[in-house]
Amino acid sequence: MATKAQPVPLSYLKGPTSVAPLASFRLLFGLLMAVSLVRFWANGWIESLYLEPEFHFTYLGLDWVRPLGVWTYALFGLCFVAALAMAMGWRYRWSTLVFFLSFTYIEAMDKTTYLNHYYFISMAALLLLLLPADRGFSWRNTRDAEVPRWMVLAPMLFVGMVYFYAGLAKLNTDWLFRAQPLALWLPGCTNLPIIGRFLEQNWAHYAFSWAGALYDLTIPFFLCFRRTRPVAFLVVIVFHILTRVLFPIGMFPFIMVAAALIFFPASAHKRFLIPLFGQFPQRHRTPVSRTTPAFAQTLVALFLAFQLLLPWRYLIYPGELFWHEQGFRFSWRVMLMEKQGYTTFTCVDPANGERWTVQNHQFLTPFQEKQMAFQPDFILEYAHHLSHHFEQLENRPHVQVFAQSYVALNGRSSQLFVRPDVDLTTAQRGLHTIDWLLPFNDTIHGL
Amino acid sequence: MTSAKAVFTTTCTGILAGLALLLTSCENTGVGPSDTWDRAAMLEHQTSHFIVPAFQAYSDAAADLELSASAFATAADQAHFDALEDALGSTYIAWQSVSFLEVGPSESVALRYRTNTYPTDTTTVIATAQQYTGTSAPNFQLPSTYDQQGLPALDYLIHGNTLAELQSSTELTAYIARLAGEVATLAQTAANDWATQAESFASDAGTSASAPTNKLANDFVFHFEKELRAGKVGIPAGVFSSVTFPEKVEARFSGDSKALFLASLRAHQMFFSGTAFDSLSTGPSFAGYLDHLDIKEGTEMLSDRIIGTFKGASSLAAAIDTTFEEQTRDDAMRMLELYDELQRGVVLAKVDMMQAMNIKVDYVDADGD
Repeated sequence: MATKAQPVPLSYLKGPTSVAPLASFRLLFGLLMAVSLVRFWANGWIESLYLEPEFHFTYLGLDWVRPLGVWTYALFGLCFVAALAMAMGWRYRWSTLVFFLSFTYIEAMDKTTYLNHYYFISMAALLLLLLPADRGFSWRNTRDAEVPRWMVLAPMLFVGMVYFYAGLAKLNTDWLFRAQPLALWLPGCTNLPIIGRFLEQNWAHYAFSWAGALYDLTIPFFLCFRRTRPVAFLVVIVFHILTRVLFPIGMFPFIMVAAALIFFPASAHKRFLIPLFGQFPQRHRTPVSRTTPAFAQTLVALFLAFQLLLPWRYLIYPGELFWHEQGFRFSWRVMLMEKQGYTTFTCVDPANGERWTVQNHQFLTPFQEKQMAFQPDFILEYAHHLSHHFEQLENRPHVQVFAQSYVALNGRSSQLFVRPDVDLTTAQRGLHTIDWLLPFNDTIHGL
Repeated sequence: MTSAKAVFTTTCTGILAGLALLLTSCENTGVGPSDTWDRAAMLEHQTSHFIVPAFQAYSDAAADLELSASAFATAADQAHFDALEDALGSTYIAWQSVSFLEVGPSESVALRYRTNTYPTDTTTVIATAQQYTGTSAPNFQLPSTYDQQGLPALDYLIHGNTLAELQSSTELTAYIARLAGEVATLAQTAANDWATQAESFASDAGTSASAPTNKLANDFVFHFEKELRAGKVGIPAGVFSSVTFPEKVEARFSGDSKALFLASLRAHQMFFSGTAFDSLSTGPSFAGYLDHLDIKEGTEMLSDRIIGTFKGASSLAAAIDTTFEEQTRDDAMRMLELYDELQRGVVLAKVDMMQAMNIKVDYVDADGD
């Protein structure tokens, strides 16, 4: 089945196709989300990541998103139920909306836990919200149904784009010519059977780096074509199993393998969906309207345009992206750098000249401190929090906060990160260029 | 269909050709040759040539402390008092070599907290001691009693009271024996556990977060940062407060703070550079691992830079010719200089060393991506 006929006529995009790939996507995505949420809860992460910390790092403009105390568990419960309902296609619009909002809220509670795959989940849910993935093989209609072809192509484009952008992000000299960060990470897996013994070898670091970049850049295309698709899907499975074995990346491999199924034609999906949903009696079939509201098309188009453009926002900012990280998140920059820092803060009370260094563990969990130590927006937010803290608790009206920060990137020696002479309380949070960082001592070429 | 294929093929070929061109046109600037580093040999050396003998030496010293304390409780004379002071001093020094090794067999018993939480709660310690009946001691396993036991409490009772005061109270001397007994029991358990479990500990040369090497490196860095840098120097010197706390130095009643600091620093340096506990041999170590990975800044090896901060801190501390408590009172600047030198070492150990050895600092059980 050609999915990239060209030039793509509008009639092709609007032409009818089976909802099956979309229904599979909905079903698997919902079920995997339910499993993920149970796993998150069972691992005690609600407690350790959201309830134990006294302070939370927030996203710009989302400061009001906070953990809800013991109700956080209810939020996870709600999200879990919504995920299952979404999977079944029960009250699909509402369940998907609730899932999207609750999951996104959870992720926004503390950016310490930011992961690209959490962002992927939020965005995939948003896209599903705009598509009638419940039209067939669902609670309200257990049989097949037709949808305009663009509705199946949209998630395909989104998933393909995630891979392709992840690949583009790897086209830099650190990844390709220093094999970083894999040269640092892979030797940690030498105890694995069979491949373990190679993972300290330099050539293996390069082989993995180049293969990874090539995989990300090309796999969406190989998945598009009937002749290459079976092999490509096999590669998808092998690739994600490998990443799962090598790195602690949780549910992400399963989600991406499931997502890649969207590239398969309806006939393949139906082989599973028809027997599965055929067990259920045909429910009162809602008449399927062939017309989709124009605003849905517009919103999906806007969504895709937004996704295509957002990763490029880093071009606005001068300096090394890996260093200042302005425009790093929400851009599919996955497994791209090994960055560690050590950041301490000295407070000065100008009223009496008193100065003291803060013991970060009194304010942050080890995880928060670790994430804070190398990310400028975290450093700034924490510095502001410290000033606020001493104002509130020690009645010191304006405490100046200076950072002593050392950061190492991709195996380079650590270097001073934040300008030590800048009182961070005078710096504003925002999207403007950060001017209180010292420049990166090296150059990384590439996208 | 065919044109789409053509576009696709062209794109793929283009990407491949581009990548190939990039590869051939650039020199390999990656990390150095990385034939296999024998983590098992490193772990074996660290365990059997440092950890096990260090725990044995500490346990022996603590056993001697317990004996001296019992002898003093039986006959509180000057000779037994002198012996007790000596035994406490030796035990405190021996402790410094195991303090940063709270992994494996010594991980579960809160050894560090129970042995050396300072400053000690003098008010409670003396009150408990004076009313000691032989059975009235607090439950020493409770975290709330960490600052009422161990070497700091003994330091206070033995050095914070005159011999006459001690001689006048059998409760006091009996309680000293009791506290010494607790220290010795913990030490002996740890040493025995190490002696019996060392082999299995050293046999896991894995790289997971809970693998021995990762735990050792993490506790080494943790101790360097929190105990050596902050506890022994930074906190008394007022780094973390707007005033100094000279009374918060380690072993303030014996005035041994400087000697204990130097002993701890020396132990860190020995362990880092692979010097055996008996100083007679050297073996594979973190320093050796870093050299093997060829980690350097310019021409200077990272291992040498870290050892440089140990040496720098050592000479700064040696130049202090009084106790840390007095030095803090007289001129805290010299303490702050010492702190700064240690801080340099902590950055190198916690950031550069840990990144090079691919060991996660403060491992957190959460997903990455």
